[in-house]
Amino acid sequence: MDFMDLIEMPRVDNVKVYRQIQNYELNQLVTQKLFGSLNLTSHHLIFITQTDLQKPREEIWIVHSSIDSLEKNVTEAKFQLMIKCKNFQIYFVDFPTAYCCNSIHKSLESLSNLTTENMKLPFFCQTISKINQEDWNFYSIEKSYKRFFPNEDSSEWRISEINNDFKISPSYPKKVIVPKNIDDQALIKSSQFRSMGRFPILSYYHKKTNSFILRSGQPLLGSSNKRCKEDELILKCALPKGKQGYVYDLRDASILKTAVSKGGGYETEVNYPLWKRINKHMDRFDQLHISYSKLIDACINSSTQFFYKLDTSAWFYNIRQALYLSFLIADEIHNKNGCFLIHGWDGLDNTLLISSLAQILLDPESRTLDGFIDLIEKEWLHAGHPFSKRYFKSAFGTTPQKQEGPVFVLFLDCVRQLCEQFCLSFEFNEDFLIMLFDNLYTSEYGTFLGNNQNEREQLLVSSRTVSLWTYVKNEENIKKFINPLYKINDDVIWPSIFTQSLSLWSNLFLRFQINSKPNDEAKKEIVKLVETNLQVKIKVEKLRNELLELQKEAIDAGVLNSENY
Amino acid sequence: MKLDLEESNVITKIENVQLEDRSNSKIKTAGLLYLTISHLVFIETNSKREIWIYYSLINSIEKLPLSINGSPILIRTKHFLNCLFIISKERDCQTLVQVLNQYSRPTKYHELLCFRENSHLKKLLDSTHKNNQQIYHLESEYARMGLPNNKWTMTNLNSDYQICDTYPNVLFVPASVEDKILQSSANFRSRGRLPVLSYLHPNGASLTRCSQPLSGFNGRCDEDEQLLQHILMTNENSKFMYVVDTRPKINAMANKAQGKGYENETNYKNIQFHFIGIENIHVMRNSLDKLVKCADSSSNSSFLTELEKTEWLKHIKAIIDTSVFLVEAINDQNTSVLVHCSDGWDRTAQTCALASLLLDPYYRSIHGFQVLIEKEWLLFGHKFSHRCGHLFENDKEISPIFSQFLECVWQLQLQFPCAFEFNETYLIKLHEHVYSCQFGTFIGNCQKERNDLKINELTYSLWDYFQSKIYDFINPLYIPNSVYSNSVLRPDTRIFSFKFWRSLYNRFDSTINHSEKLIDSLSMLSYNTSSLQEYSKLLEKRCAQLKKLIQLNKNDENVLIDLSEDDFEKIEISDKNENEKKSFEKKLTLDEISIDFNSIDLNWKSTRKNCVCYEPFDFASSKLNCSRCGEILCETYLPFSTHLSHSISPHLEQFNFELAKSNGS
Repeated sequence: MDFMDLIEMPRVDNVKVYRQIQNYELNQLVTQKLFGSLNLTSHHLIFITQTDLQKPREEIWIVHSSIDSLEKNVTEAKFQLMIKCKNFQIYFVDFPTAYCCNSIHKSLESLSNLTTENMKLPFFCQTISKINQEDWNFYSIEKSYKRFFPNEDSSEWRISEINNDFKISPSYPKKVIVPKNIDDQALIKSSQFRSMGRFPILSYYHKKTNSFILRSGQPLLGSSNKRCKEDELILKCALPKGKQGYVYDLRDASILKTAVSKGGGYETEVNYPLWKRINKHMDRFDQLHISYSKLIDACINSSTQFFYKLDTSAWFYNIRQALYLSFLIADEIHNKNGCFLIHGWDGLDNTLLISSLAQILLDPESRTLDGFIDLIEKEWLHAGHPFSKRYFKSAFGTTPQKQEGPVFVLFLDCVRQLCEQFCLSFEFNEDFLIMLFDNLYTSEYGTFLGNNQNEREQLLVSSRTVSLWTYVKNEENIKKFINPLYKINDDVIWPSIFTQSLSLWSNLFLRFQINSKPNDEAKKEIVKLVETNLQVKIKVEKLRNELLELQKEAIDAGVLNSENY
Repeated sequence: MKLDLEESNVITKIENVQLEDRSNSKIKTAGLLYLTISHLVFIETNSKREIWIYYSLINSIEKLPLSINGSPILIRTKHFLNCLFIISKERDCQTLVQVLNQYSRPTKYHELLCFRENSHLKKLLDSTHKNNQQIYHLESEYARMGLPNNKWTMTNLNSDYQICDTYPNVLFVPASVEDKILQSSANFRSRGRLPVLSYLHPNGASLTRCSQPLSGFNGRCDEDEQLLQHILMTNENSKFMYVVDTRPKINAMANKAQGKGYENETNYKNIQFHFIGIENIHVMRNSLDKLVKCADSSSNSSFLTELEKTEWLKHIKAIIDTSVFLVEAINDQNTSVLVHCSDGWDRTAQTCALASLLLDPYYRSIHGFQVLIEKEWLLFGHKFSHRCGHLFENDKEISPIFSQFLECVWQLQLQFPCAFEFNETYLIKLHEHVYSCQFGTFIGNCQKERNDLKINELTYSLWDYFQSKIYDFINPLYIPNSVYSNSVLRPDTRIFSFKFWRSLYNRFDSTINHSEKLIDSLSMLSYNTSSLQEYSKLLEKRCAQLKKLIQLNKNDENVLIDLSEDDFEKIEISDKNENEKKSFEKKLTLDEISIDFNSIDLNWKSTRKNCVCYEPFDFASSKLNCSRCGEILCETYLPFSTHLSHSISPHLEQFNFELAKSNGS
């Protein structure tokens, strides 16, 4: 298939585009009206205003894949298309005839819903910068292993390459960390007993207390009450003496029967005697998608009952719940003797959310820029979170398959809440999180392509596209993402999880509605304060050295004595 | 024990008391309760933590149903501290309630705290004059606006409060108007509050304020109509003016039946009449009650729905919306506005003050903000003592009108972080002291009453106290000439721009507030910078001296040089004690150099650390660094510091003796 097959009319003239923009003088939203021509290319919708003596030419570029939903409004007098983008921007386009309106609508419907990974934008954007293999290999499991176990010999854990050809578990990476005295055969057995072959693997090891987090898919108990000795062995071997094991099942206890009847299940007390199972409800990704749509709807139509609408969207409930569960886990791991196995259904969504949030609370390293990127690689990309499926549509759109679910957006929001509560303890800033959000749905970079490492390898992502981290590491860009007030905080952070302590992410969810200028000004001022402070410290340091030298010289010359001398 | 309780006149002591954690009822801390003549003091047995509550701040005392552990008693304060004490003996509980009822409900002004001897404030504010309140002359504020001029003049018609006892004794009115007209207009306005000038914009448009006319169903007053014409005429740029009634129309209609009401547009020439719809004091009081309950039930999962139901933010929005209307009329349409509500001392004060704040950057400075409060609130007769319940009188008069104004300012601070010289802590402390009765500033209901009470002679001024702690209140992000703060502020008033003021309503809930306070770290950063700057000056001077010493030695001069005179202007920057300084004047020694050298620690502790004294408790209490060792100290710790080596950065030295346990913490 060629893109050109999908484009009937590459250009339409006499088009009007309306969009809401902020008038900073009046501090009001105003509707901007633009006249010009609309052009369709293989990846972009480009609107160019008519050349006018008074006004310079303006261009609006909209990437097809950034379009979330299209609504056609054709009446006798009006031929209008409403374009809602995945980043919450909304455009209205008036066409001169019903025919062009229909034609463009049809083309955009196809172009914005392309599912073929190979036709996605990153493969056509190799020129944005050089493909840097180092950035693709930024994360490695060996690096994590070394961090968790600086002394390999005394470690009870090993790296297994059992999944090297992605056969055992297609959604797992090639290499995983497992208990040392469990052999690969046992892993294979366990993988057959776990949803999507996702046997228990090590996610995080807390050096300070030797406690850890494992994660997996649900056990496939089924109505015949199957059990798997090897799976039981893994959990038994993993748990050191004196530790209490907890299975954190992120599903409501009431739903377990259904799970069993569908071939799934849970760890029974009889077969896993050392492990205590705790069921904690988290909304599943498809419910979360509904929550997200309601949230954005509340933000866009905010005039009446705004707070009530926010509440009923359940977005804050999900944030609280996610932070609360990670808080409980961190507390057990750091202050008590708990070790954890986390899973829900397949262990692709909420499992990763909770395990990565718990790590941010526990591990100071994950609050640095590099450590955070590592965490995203380890807990999301390598862990097989289905990015391609979950972020095919944003808050306005759905597909019949209903595989969308903004779990990673919830993760970013939770991290932002933490950044706000601990404004000194994170090396990266809110802009970094917003940048991640923007690249999640539509990107020129290949990082979030595919649903797991297996798919990314098949697509040759690392040789055909540029990594997002190449963009981040660029000297010019990295400056934008650093929190000037960051000071390393070696402690575990304990967030507040009351609704009062949380805030709406207005710089993201209200991004096209609020005036960000006064806040940008404040950010600049903070940078200035930090810089001035640094300058004066350097000066003092220099003067101190100078004084010490002069003092020595004076003593040598015999002109300076101690009073007591 | 940090403070000598004997000095504070202990009435009785109650043992075996438990304080229940508000966020987790399972957590209880054991301790003792002391009842003094002015405070309720709780001292934890196992820690150093103490809670001091001024009786004047107590809002309600509620006995809850008996539990196994004893009698629970919930005390809520006006600055949103909620303490649930469980008292093991029922008899003790009765004593407690009895003492609190006796002491926390003064019925006469002279029983209030501010009229009592206060050794602490005396020490702190002795150098300043008690009657500093007089520094805010109404005349000088109007002079700042260029008045009097040929359009506006000052009248002494009210010099003895004869035409209006709730107005100031000096009023600004159109120059062209005769006294007779003013007199008649006053007679036609509720409580004699005739239209007078509040703020004059450089473009000639004016903001005037008054109370509702006594028009009834069809009463009119020729002179009042004339006065409005005179006000209209002072502004050449507009052919009409607005009259804004800030009440909902239905309330204004109801007033007609009582012989009051609103201006009839047909009687007044060239006016445009507007109702805006800010609710009355009773609605606001009820809304706050709901809000407090909503904030208190911290485990409440439907917090946002509850917040919606309180309608509190809707009321805050209404006040800001109205103020924005006034700003647009005056600044954008060059049109004068006359504002009133019923008596013109609640909603009118809120909106006139807020509109001035939006229009004129001067009012966003610390000094200007105090002038604004003096003018629009104190002098124009907002009934602080009634609204804040300073005395045990009529509960129906209590309403958080001024608190709402402070919250509006806070909402603006959120939207414009660089526009205000003062910070959030300033607003929170101001809110507290409007109720605390420690200072005379907000006692009484109008200027006349304060004069009669001799407030200026007998009490300390809150403004002086604030001045002595000014570094706690400065916003380090303030940019006086920024694009967004040197002119008119245009706030976004869509509902999503309004936030719940957590650090006020959950001020004492350490589990709810954020652990790392941005404002503290920024303040500390700028303190650090300024003390290092001064330190570097000291180092430079020392270097120069040593160079000179060495130089002179090389020149074969005799060695022990007198280093006084020009080399040695007094260096006042070191944070050492006065007596250490004298040795400078004699000769430079190695010891001195090393003392200077070590006088400042380069690496201050991050604000995320808590004070060495105890766990954080009051979100509004500020943290400071000891400049010598870099340790974190909170303001309540400082006065009790036996660790004499701690010293806060040089220019903060004056605060070493800090107000003792005043703030309920």
